[in-house]
Amino acid sequence: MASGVSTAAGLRLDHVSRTFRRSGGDLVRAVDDVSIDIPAQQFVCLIGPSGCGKSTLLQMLAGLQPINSGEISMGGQPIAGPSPERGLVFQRDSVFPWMRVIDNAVYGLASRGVDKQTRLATARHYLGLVGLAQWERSWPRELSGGMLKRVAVATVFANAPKVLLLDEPFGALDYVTRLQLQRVLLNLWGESRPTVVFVTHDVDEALLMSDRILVMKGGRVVDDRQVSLARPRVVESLALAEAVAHKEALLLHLGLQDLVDERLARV
Amino acid sequence: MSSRVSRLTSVGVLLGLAIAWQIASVLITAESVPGEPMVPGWQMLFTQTFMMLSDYWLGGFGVAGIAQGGDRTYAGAILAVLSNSWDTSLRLVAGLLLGAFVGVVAGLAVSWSAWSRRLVALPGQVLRTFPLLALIPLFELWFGLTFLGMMLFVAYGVAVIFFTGTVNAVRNVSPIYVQYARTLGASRLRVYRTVILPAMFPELRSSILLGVGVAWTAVVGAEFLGAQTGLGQIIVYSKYFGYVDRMFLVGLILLAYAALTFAAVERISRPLTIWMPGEFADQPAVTEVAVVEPQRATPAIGRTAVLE
Amino acid sequence: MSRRLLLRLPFDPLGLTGLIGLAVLWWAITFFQWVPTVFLPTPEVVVRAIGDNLTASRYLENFHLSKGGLLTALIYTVQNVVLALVLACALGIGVGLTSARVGIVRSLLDPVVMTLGTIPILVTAPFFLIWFGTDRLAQVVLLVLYDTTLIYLFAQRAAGNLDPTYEAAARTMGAGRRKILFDVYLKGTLPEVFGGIRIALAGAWGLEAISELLGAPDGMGKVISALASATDVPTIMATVLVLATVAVAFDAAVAGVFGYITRWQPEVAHG
Repeated sequence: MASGVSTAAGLRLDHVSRTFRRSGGDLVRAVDDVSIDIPAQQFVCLIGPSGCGKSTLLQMLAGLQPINSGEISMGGQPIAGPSPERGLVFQRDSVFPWMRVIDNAVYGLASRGVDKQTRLATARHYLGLVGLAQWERSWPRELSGGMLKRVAVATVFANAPKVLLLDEPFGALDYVTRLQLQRVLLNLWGESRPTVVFVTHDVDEALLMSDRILVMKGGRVVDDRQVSLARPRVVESLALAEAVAHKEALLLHLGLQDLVDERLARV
Repeated sequence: MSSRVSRLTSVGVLLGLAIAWQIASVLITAESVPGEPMVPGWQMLFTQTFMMLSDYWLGGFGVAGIAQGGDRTYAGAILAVLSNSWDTSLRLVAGLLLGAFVGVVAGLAVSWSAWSRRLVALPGQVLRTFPLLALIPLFELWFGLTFLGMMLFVAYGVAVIFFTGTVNAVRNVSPIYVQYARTLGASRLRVYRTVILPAMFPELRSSILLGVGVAWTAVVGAEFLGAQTGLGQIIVYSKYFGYVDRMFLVGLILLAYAALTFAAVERISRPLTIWMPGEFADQPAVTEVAVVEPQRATPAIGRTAVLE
Repeated sequence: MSRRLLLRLPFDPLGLTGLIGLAVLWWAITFFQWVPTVFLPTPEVVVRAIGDNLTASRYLENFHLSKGGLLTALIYTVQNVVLALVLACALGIGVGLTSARVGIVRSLLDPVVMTLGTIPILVTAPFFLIWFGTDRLAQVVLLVLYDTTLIYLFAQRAAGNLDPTYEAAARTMGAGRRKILFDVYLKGTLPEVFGGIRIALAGAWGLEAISELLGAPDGMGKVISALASATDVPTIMATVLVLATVAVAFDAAVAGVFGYITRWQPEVAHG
């Protein structure tokens, strides 16, 4: 029993830039004049090599970093600061160690003043969906990294955000756990369909999850690919021709020059 | 070395020291004052010396004080120890509680905004380096040799510890928790209450133990320099007469009290960190003696290093 | 936050404002008479007291204190503090580091040190005064006891916290025992040991002061004691301020030197 399906909202980035001044004194453009239009309920992956600015862009979408120029708007309204409407799943463990799992799961709802009965029911629903119903009363220190990530995902979903942001959420987990969590995420997304922006450096992950892949390099968006593979996607889907074509292009973007050389050698 | 063996060794070492003391008391027959040995042996301490403590009982409860012509009795001695322990303990506890409260509240208030934190950082650090014990005569001149004066002195020393400890603990809260809470919709106040406060408890626990140590030193110091009652006062008073045995006995009593307070505080504060991952939960608290410093992480010290 | 001026200052300018604010507050309290000046003298009076008595002071001589004014007393105090600290380092660092590795040493010394750590070391002061007389020895022994206990504990903990990976790596590269001891053990534990030395130093000033207050041939504590019986609040404040300034200056200097020696340490970023 969900607390209501979220009305997803679209995101619009209008000539957005973020500049840092490094300790040496020189100016760094982490995000350079980026303009994107993300329709509501679209699952977008943001991919790119290290230091391309994807995490910075995501943090700006979350409202955790200031926008130096340009504007970001959600559903037509410019954003200002963090908000439960733009939920964020962090890469590192963010689950509060000093609260039990259930208290973590209700945190967002409690912060917004939802009454006790409703918020417990909602939180339990989502904990059930991620497979942690039995761990309600446990302390976070008793849980593995993958389980903690599920708590975080359940917590954010319980808050029914219009936009879901994920910053390489499964990066620290092992391969199998990662696959499991991807499936968990897609299940939850299937239920409420918020707009998703998912940052990753893993090409396979991007192909398995998203409708659309944006490639960033040097602070700019250098490629915008529509992924039309049928859902639900399985690992085998990665072998389909379309997937392979995407993958080659993406790997090239990410700098895997060997692939080019290998292809040239085969010719 | 297994913990059982090491515990036995610890007991053995302390016993060995006690025996060495006894041997020394036999060998060193020097006297500070005729009739008073420099190194009093155990047999003397637990009989004669203890009786002598009834000198410090001022009368009441049916036991006449020495000044009124009564004899030295065990009852008198016990009453003397109890009443002076009470005086010392009261000053200690009152000062500790007051100082802790003021220090933590001030630390939290200052940490609310980054500006206020930076403004107060340097003065806080300077205040912490101010030699606490050198201020006793000033406090005495300001507040007199009263309960209030001594309590305030203890409170001041403790407050400085808790203040800098709190400010540091808040700074060390991992920003990811704050960000996570904000993206879930928590207001700033709610973040303070549900995230920052619990997150800083482990570090604060270190300040608590350190504060207890400072409180003891402060109370003993204050009593050394002119109190009328109290265990510290007995020690100093006896010193003027060269009664090393009384000094030693009362010193041992103080040691017992101090050890008790540390153990008690450690016990009581443990539930606050029940959620900490394994290695911290059952170990004694790590005392992060942190001067409010902008950059460097400060080292941790063992629980008993709460000397000052 | 928009562009911030990154001035390369060793301290935070805002913090300096805070200190100045404190001084202004003091002045304001006395100016508006919120506290009677008999309790809190004006800054000018205290500063003048410092100036008058810093070197060769007739006034202090009247208390049978040494001729050189505050300065000679200060030198006495500083000598004791520094001497004790050096001795404590010699005693405590090596033994502390060893105790982390050699179980017997630890089992023998830990109970002693832990016991010492539980009592306020101050309690031992009167004993030293009786055994050694109101002599420099009594003060130094007291400080050495305090400093060594702290440094021992810090060194022990530092050695315990040292990631065994470093030593293992050195071993696999063929480093000999002595080389490992110096390069890995000593250098790797320096930051924490330095921290302990700094903390010991901070507490030593007060301990020395009160030890002198109880009975000493010279020193700032003795000066304060004499002035206290004359209820001369301004000059006492002057003396305390001079002592505190020296303590703070020493702390800053030591922090600077230690910071430089261990400048290889990664900065810990705070939120």
